[in-house]
Amino acid sequence: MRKKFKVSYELVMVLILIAMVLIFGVLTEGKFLKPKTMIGCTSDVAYLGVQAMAMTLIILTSGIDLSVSYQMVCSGMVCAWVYNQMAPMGIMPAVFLSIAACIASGFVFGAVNGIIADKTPINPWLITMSTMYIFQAISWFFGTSFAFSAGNPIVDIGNMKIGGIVPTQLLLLLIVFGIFYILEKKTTFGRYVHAIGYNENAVNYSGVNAGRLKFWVYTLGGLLSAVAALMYMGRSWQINQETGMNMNIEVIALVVLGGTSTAGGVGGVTGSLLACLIIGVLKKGLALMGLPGTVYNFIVGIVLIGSLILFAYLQKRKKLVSRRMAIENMDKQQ
Amino acid sequence: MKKKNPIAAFFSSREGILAIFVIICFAALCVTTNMIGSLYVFLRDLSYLIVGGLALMMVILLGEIDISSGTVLGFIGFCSFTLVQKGVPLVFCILVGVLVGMLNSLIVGFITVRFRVPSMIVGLAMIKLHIGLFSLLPNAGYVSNINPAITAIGNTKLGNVPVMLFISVALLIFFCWLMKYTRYGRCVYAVGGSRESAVLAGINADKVTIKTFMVSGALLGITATMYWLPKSQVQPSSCVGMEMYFLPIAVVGGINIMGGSGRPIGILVAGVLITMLQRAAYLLGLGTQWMYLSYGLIVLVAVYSMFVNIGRKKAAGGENNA
Repeated sequence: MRKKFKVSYELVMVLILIAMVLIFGVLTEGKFLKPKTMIGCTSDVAYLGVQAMAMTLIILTSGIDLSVSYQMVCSGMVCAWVYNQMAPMGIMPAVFLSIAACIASGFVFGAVNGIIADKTPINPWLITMSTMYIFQAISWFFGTSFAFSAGNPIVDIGNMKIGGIVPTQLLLLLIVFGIFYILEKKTTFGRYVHAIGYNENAVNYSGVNAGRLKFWVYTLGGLLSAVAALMYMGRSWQINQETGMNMNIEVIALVVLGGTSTAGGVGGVTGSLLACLIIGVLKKGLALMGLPGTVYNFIVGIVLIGSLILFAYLQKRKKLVSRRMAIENMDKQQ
Repeated sequence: MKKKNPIAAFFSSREGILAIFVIICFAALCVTTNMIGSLYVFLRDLSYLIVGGLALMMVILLGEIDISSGTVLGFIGFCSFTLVQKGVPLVFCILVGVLVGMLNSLIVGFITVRFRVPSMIVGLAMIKLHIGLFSLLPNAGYVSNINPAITAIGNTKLGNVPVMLFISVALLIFFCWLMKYTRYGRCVYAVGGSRESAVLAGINADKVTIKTFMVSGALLGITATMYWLPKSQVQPSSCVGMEMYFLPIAVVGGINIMGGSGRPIGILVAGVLITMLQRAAYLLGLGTQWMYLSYGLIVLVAVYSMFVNIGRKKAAGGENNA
C-alpha cells in the first residue's frame, strides 16, 4: 500500500487564513497587520459566528434554518422593548430583565421551528422559510422600520475590551465555540446529531428519538440567535428590519465554507469558526482597501458556489477511492 | 367503468374545491371593497404571477427548488430594459431576457445535477451573487427613462382585461398540454416521482433535470418582462424576496413539494388566490406584514395538508392490498 500524506481540512483553512492576512497586509501596505485591526476584525463577524455554531448542528442533521436572521431581529426587538419599558424602574433590573426576555423569546422562536420539524414530515427548508416570513411579519408588527436601540449598559458591554485588547465579542464567540465543540465532539448528543445526518431511520430504529433531538437542535438555533441579537445590538447600538435581510445566507455560507456537508453528517464546528475568521478578514480587508461593502456580497456568493462545487467533488472522489480500495482488498482475498 | 362528467370531476378534485373557495372569497371582496374598480391591476398582477408560478412548478415537479427565482427577475429586468432604453426592438430585448433567465437556471441546474448539491443551497448562493451584482451594475441596476410607448405596450388592455393575461393563459394551456400529452412532460413526472426508477426505465434523468431548469428559466424571463413592462422603471433591489410570491402559488396549487405530482391547472386557481390576498391586503389598508404572515402560514398549512393526504392515500392503498 502506498502511504498517503493526509492533510486535514482544518489545516488547509488555517493556511488560507494566514495567506489572506498576509495578502491583505501587503495590499493595504501594512495597515492590516496591526494587532488592533486584526483582533478588531473578528468583532464584525462574531455575531454571525455564534449563529453559525448552531447552524452547523442543524446542517449536520441534514436540515437547514433560513429563519435565523429574523429570529435574531425579533428577539433583539423584544430585548429593546423590554428595556425601554423597564428603564424607569432602575437600570440594573432593566438590563437583566431585557436580556432574560431576549433569550426567552429566542428560545420560543427556535422551539416553534423545532416543534414543526419534530411533529411533521415537511422539509426543513420549507418550514424555516415559512417561519422566516412569519418572524419577519412579527418584527414588522413590533415597529415598521424603526430602529430599536439597546440600553446603554448592553452597548457598553458589547464595545468593551477586556484588558484593553480582547473584545467581548470575540470572547463570547470563543465561549460559545467551546461549549459547542464539547457538545459536538464529546457528548452523545453530538454523536446522534451526526448520525441523524447520515441516516435518520437508523437512529430511530436504534431506539433514539430523532425528532426530539431535532427539536433541541432547532431550539439551540433560536437561543443562539438571541445571543447574536445581544451581540449585534452591543456592537452597533440598534437593530431594525433591514438587519435581517439576507443575513441567513451569510450564516449558511460560513457553515458551508467550514466544510460541513449540506447532505448532513460530515463536518464540525471547528471549520465554521475558522470560516468565520476568514470571512471577518475578508470583510475588513476589503473595507481597508476602500472597496464598497457590496463587493463583499458578490465575492461571498462566488466563494460559496465555488466551495459547494469543490466539496461535492472531493466527496465524490473520496467515495471512488474507498470503492477502489474495497475492490483491491477483495482481489487480494481471492 | 363509466366516464365521469368532466365538470363534476374537476369540482370534486383538490383544485376544484380550492376554486370554489376562491370564488366565494372573490365575491366577498367584491361586495366589501372596491375590487371591481381595481380589477385591471388585479388581472395585471395575476398575469405575471401565473407565469412565475409555472416556472417554479416545473422545478418543484422534479423535487428541486430554485429560490433565486426572485432576485433573478431584477437582473433580467436590468439586462433587457437597458437594451430597450438603447432603442433595440422590444422582441429582441425580451429574447435577451429569456436567455439570461435560462442561463441563470442552467447554472443552478448544472451544479445541482453534476455535483449532487441540494438545489436549495445553490439557490441561496445565487441570491447572494445577484444581490452583489445589483450594486456592481451601473446606477445600481436602476433603469429609468424608458420610452412611454414601450410602457404603453405593457399596459394595453381590452376593456378591463390586460393583453398580457391572454399570453399567460395561453402559456398555461400550452403547459397543460405539454405536461400531459408529450413524452417530455411524462418524463418530468417520472423523474420527480422516483429518480431511480426513471433511470432504470431508460430515462436520462440528468438531461431531463437540466432541460426543466432551462424551461423554468425561460418562463422566469417572460415573468420578468411581464413584471417590468407596465412599470416605467426597473429597480432590481425591489425584487428581493419575490420568490415568496411564486412558491405559495406552486404549493397551494397542489404541486407536491417532493416532486412527481400536481397539475398546471392548479397554478391558475392558486395564482388567483395569492393575487387576491395581495389586493385584499392593499384594499383593506393592511400592511405588507399581513401579506408575509399569510404567505408563511399558507405554505405551512398547504404542505402539511399535502403530506397528510399522501399518508392517508398510502394507508388506504395498504388496506386494499391486504
